[in-house]
This record gives sequence, structure tokens and C-alpha cells, in this order.
Amino acid sequence: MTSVPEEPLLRIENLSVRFRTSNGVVRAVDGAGYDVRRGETLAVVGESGCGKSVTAMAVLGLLPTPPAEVASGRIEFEGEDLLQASPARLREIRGNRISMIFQEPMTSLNPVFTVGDQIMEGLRLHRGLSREEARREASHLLELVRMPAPEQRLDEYPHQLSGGMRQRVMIAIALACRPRLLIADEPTTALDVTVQAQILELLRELQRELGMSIVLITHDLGVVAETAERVVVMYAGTVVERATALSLFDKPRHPYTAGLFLSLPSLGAESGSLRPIEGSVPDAMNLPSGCRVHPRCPFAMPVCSERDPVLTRREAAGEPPHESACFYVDQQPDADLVALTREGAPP
Amino acid sequence: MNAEGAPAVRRVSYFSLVWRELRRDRLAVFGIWAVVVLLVLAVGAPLVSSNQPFWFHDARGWSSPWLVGLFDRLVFESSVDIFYNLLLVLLPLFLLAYAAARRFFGGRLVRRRGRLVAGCAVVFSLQFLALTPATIGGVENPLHYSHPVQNYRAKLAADPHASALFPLHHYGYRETNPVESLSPPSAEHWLGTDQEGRDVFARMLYGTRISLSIGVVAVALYIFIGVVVGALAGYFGGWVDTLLSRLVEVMICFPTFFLILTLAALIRERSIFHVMVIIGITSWTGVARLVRAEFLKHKGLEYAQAARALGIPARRIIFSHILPNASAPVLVSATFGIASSILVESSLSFLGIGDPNVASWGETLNAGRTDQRLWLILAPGFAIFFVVTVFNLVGEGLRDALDPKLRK
Repeated sequence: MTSVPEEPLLRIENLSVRFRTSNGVVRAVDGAGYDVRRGETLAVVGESGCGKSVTAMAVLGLLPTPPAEVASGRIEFEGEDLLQASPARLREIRGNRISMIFQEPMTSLNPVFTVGDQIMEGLRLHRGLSREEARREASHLLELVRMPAPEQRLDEYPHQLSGGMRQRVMIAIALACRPRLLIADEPTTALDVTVQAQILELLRELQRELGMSIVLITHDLGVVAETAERVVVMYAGTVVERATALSLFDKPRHPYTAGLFLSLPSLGAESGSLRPIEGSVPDAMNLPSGCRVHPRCPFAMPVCSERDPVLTRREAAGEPPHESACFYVDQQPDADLVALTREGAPP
Repeated sequence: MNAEGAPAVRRVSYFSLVWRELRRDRLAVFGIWAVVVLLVLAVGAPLVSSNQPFWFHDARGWSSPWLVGLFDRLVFESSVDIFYNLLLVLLPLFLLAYAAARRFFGGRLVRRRGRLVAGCAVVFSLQFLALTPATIGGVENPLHYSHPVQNYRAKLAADPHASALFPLHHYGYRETNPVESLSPPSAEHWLGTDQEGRDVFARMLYGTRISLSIGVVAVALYIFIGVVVGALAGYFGGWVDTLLSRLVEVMICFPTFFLILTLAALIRERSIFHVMVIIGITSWTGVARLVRAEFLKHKGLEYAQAARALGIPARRIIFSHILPNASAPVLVSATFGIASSILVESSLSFLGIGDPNVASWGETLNAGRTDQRLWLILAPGFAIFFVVTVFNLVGEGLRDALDPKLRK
């Protein structure tokens, strides 16, 4: 574990994003923040609509600005505040120093261009390569993402490729300019399980080879366990828990995270032990008061609906940082939340 | 390279899929062939019907009035004719050069086909621009009004030693002959003559050029306006969309045909190009709304978002990423648009506010109405009906072929 505090590659602080709709204001992200260090994989976990993708889009300045609006916060990338950057500056950064891959490889590639043209576009735009150079580089990139017969693939159209191959092409496009940071928004959700494993393995290898940081946005805790070094758990626009993957899986310090673990099937566990989290994600237009998790939380106390919990450090001395925002854990720092939730007997 | 042993890649592009689908539709295939035939007739009209013989021989020697006449503004007044005549002369040359070059350079040439076609088009346009005006930079164009038109049929009949080879039908569309005014169809005048003794068959044949040009140019113009307006409105949204959408709505409120009539009546010296522009600037609203809707759909799709995430500038995303994906419905509406533009031009000519100097079908139809002659009504009536039907068949075929839900 590194104990020397180094400047993170990306730092998101107290970010709030609102969507103004005709029915009211949706608070999609509300005071969320996390750091990404150089060369690490950070997983951002949460249910649909918890604001994990919106946060990532805000980093790239991709939020559609008439409905969306960044109300507060700071996004610092290599010391530069991206929220203050001009559109031209953002275009320079996008695809060049920060890249993104999306969930749906089936639709993220433009159907009217060949694979080669799409990889070459970023190369020519950001690195100013000639057509021939770009084509050579594109072929290298396809090799880099372990695409069989890369020379031929360059001339194929996306619909001629399988889902896994398309995701490889997406990764090749994202890596074309050797970005410092790769944001992967549910990169494996739309793929078969075997292909998922291959893509994750590929991302891991590429990270080692290129030394980039990855923000892995996912709702799949299995993916997190396999790839991430640190994890951020988000719920209804806020960060509820931040920890290293080891510490989080070892002992979650937030009832919501504990609930997520119990809702996963696992080998060796007794049958019937699968336990969904009761209720559903709150309507972002009409958030509960206090802690957003409390209507679904087995440990909810009166204070939970009155005040907002703050992220508090929970680790013992000498352990890596582990933060969570929960009043119950404030009172019972050593409670085994998973066991308590499974027994279904909240105190 | 690793070309060795690798199987040849079959590039199955989107349009080859559409083409495969289109070929199953018999009516559409018929329509496409009919359009091809119409194009060939339009380009090759002087080969079929002209009062200038291919060659003429008399005491003064050989000459080729036909070839000279192709660019003589006394024989062919309209620039549309000059355009097609130039195409008639140059197209075979381009094709020959391409075939020869392909022999020598093979695959390399095929890969650069697009650039080659563009180059030929540029050369062609430059030549057309050089040929069309009467003077170029103050210097009189030697090809403009080169020879006084001679009646070679009369010369041939008068001189027993002369010999000549005429096209199949030896009348031009502008040649008037008051003696043969309103004569019914005969071996000499296949479809009869009109009030001024002009040959109706020749006018029908050359009218194909006018109709096709009107269709293509007017549609190209309004597709261009519609695509730009629709793309900007759909992609940027917000106040740009509000402004452009209201503009479209204001335009839609005008009854289009009356607007066209008014605009046409305002122009004193109408040429066929005015008619094209008038149709073009009044008919773009449908395309704009179509393109706007397509862009609203496509800008939210992941590939557009991925393009933005790559830092690609908006102009490039709009015109080279989204537009090709949104082009299918535009293509269909363009095909139908050609048919309706032809109909509008015929209506204008029928009402006497077209270009009086070109062989428009509508004008002949109008002559048939005033002079009460059956051949003057049936011939242009059928021609208009045929062309409009054919383009509608192609349009319907395209619409079905582009619809993935109907794909088998």
C-alpha cells in the first residue's frame, strides 16, 4: 500500500448536477466526489439512475446543457479544472487524454463507416497523422486489443463483427491516443459472460501495458471484485461508501453495500439465501429527507430521516482508508452488517 | 503485409444490402430501368432526332453540321441542352479512358474510383461553364452562335450531287415550319406538329432533358436547404431549433403552388433555371422536418455520443457521422420529390409561365388544349404520366427496401 499521498489524476469534489425538466428539477448528482489515482482502477458501483454515468459525463463535459446543469463542484484533471475549460479545450482533451467506452458495443460504432475509418478518425484529429500512418497505427491498435486478423478488420463494417469484437474495436478507438484516463461505462453489461471475462482481462492487461487509470462504472459487483483496486458506491446521487476493494468486500461499512452483497448469488452459499434490497431507487425529483437510503434500510433510525450522514473514516490504524456515510455505523462501528442483514433482525 | 492466405474481405456495405432488397421488387426494378432509359434518351436525343446531318458532302467538301451544331446556340438555345450535348460528347471519352486506365492500373484505380469520378465531374463542369456564356471575360465565345442554321434537308433536295447522313428522325425541336402547322402524325412527323409547325416527337424527346434536369436540380437544391436547416435544428436544439422550426412552419403556411406561381410571375425573363430555383426554394420544408426528426433521434444514440466523447467537432459529427445514417428517408423523399418537381414544372408551363424557349411537355400540353388536337394532348400527357409514375415506383421500392421491418 502506498502511504505517500500523491496528487490524483482526477479529482471530483462535491459535484452536483441538476436536470431541469418540465416536471421539476431532478437532482441527478448531489455532492458526490471521488479521486482517481494514476494507474489504478476505480470502480463506481450503484443501481441504475444513481448518478454514476452522469458524473462520468460531467467529467467529459458531455452533459446536454439545456436540461442539465452543473450546480456546484470541481472536476480537476491533471491540475486543470474541467468545468472551467472552454469547449475547444474540452474537445482537445476528449478522446485524447480522457477516453470513454460505452455500454452498447452494438450501437456505439457508427454503422456507415468501416472499423478502420473509425479508429483512424481520432488518430488523425488528435495526433495529426496522415492517412497511411493512421492506417498503420489503427492496425497496431487492433493487434493491441487482441483482434484476430487486424489488417482485414480495418475494411469491415461494424455489423460484420460480433459483440465482443465490437467492444474490442471501441477499446481500440478509446486507446488510440494513449489516454491517461479511460472511463468505461458498463463495458461488459451487454456481452456474454465468457466474453465479459475476456474484455475485463483485456482491460487489465492494457492498463498494465499503457499505465493508464480506469474508471469502471458498473452495477456488477462480480466485475468489481475481479478488476478494481478501489470502489465508490453511489446511491441516489450521493457517495455512500468509498474503500479499497479488499476492505469493502471483507467488511462493508454501509447497509446499502451489505444489501448489494446479499442480493448477489454466490457459489457455496445455501440456496434461498438470495435477498433483494426491499423497495426501489427513490425518484430523483422527490428524494427522501436525510439519508437517501433510509426508506430501504433495515437499520434505519429516527435520525436517518432528519439529517444527512457524512462520509466518515472507518479504518483501523495502518489500514487503507475506508469511508462510509451512515448513522448506524457511527454508533456501531464494528457491527457485521452482512450477517445482521441476512438474519433479517435489525436491532 | 499479411495479405497472404487471408481470405478476401467482402465489403457488405449498407447500400449493397438495400440494393439486394430493391432488386426483389419487380416494379422498382422496372422503374430503375425506365429511369436509365430516360437518361439515355435525354443524353442521346441528338442521335435520334436532329435537323443537322451527321455528315454532309457537296461541291464544297465534307462537313459535320451535327457535331458543330451540338454547341451552337442557334440550334440549341437552352443551356440545359448544351449540358446534355457536352455529356454526349465527353461521356464516351471518359468511359473509354477509364476502361483503358483500368487495363493498366487495375485494382489501384478501382480503389480511387471516387476521387476519379469527382475529378471528371470537375473537368466536366469547367467545360460546361466555359461553353455556356456568350462571352468569357469580355472575349466573345467562338462557339456561341457559331454558324447560321442552314436547312440541310432543303440543301440536299436542291443539290443532286450532295449526300448526307441524317439521324433517324431529321427534325430539331426548335425548327418552325408554318406550312406544316398542326399536321397530324405521319411517317415524316411521327407525332405530328404543333401550331408553329414544330415536330412534336422531337419536342417530346428533348423535353425528357428538361424534365429530368428540373427534377434533379430542384430536388438537389431543396434537399440541400432542407438538410442544412433540419440538421442544425435537430442537432443543436434549444433556440436554434425554435427559430428554424418556426421558419419552417411559416413556410408551410404558404400554399406552395400559389407561392411558386407568384414568384414565377414576378420574374420577367424566365429561364428554366429560374423555375428550378423557384421550385427548390419553396419545397424544402418537408425535408427539413424529416431531417430534424432524424437528427433528434440520432443525436442521442450511442455512436453520436461516442463521437462527441472522442472530441470530434460538431460540424463533423453532424455532416459526416449522423447525416449518412439519417440519409435513408431523405433519399426516398428525394425520389418522390423528383416526380413532384417534374409535375410542378409541367403545370407552370401548362399555365404559360414556364420557360418558353425550352421544349417543355407542359407547354405542348397547353398547345393541345388551345388548338384542340388529340396528338398534342396524348403525347405530352403520356410522357408526364410515365415519368412521374416511374419515379414514384422507384421511390416506393426504395422506401420498402430501406425499411428494416419489411426486410426478409
